[in-house]
Amino acid sequence: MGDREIDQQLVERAQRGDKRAFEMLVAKYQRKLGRLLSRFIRDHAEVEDVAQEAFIKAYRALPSFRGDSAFYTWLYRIGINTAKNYLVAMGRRAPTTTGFDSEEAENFEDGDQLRDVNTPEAELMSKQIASTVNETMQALPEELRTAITLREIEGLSYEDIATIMNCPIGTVRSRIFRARETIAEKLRPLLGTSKDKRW
Amino acid sequence: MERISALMDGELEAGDILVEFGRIKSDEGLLQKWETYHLIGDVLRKEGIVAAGFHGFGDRFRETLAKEPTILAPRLVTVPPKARLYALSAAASVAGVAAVAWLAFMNQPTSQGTGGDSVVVAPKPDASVKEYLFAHHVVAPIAAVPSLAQYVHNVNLRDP
Repeated sequence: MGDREIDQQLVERAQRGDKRAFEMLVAKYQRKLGRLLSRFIRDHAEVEDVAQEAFIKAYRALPSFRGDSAFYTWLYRIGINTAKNYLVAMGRRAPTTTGFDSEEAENFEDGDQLRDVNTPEAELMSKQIASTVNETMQALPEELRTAITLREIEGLSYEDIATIMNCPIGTVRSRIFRARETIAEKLRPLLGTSKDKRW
Repeated sequence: MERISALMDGELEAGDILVEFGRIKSDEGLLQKWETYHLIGDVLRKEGIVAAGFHGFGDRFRETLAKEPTILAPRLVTVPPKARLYALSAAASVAGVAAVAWLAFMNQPTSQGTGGDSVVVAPKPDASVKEYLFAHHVVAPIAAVPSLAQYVHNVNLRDP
């Protein structure tokens, strides 16, 4: 079962009244949507407000989501429209539709073109989290680092990773989990202290 | 926890997925784990507002979502492609039969031509015509318009 199918299952659960399923979708896509919105909106607090509004709009529109497109493609369109409406309401210039209404949502990446919308405090936090993840990655045993890299960066399936690493699929699953858990443990102090803060 | 890791990679069996969704639904800690694992993936891929930018967003959103009425959308009935094909061919057959029947009906000869919906009001016959009709109704071409002939016959019998 792929990523899209997992999302579809979460959507169907949310459509049947399971709010936690929708929260899982939000947990998964919040940063991606935030990055998208930051292309149009400079202020970080505003990005977060618009992201929240877009997610609520998506939640309310769930009954109309039929799964013809991927969930993120659908969310992407809602996010773009919410951002446009917000900018118009604020008397600012909304982005043109060209280039944003296409199917680029699936592969949306803007890399270095992204404006830095973080406040200095948030910027520091971002750097701390990124450096913690990267340093922990470097300190991981080779087999764990390879397994999680092949999964998260290369996007390979467990079966493909097992073939490359010449080990059973169960071992791949265990290695990826251990890698994530090790990094999560290192992040815990950072994340635990900042939950109630708004950046 | 290992199951959550496999779940986010889409590497759980269908039955296990349902069990895992159920566990996350009832355990806030597992939801946090799901969120943290996705955060790690986003950082490694340099995807999304990196880490801190949106940290805590999920918690704040949950408070907002809690105020929203619960969605209860009717379940979509997905028709398998093969069944859809059968349904389409059946519909096409019915449409074909209906078209043939309609054409046959439209081409039937009627005593009033092809007047369509227009209403034709027959002029009231005068007394001489009545007598003529009464005298000749036995030899009138009843077979051509049997119901009309019967009607005319009865009226004339009862007319004083």
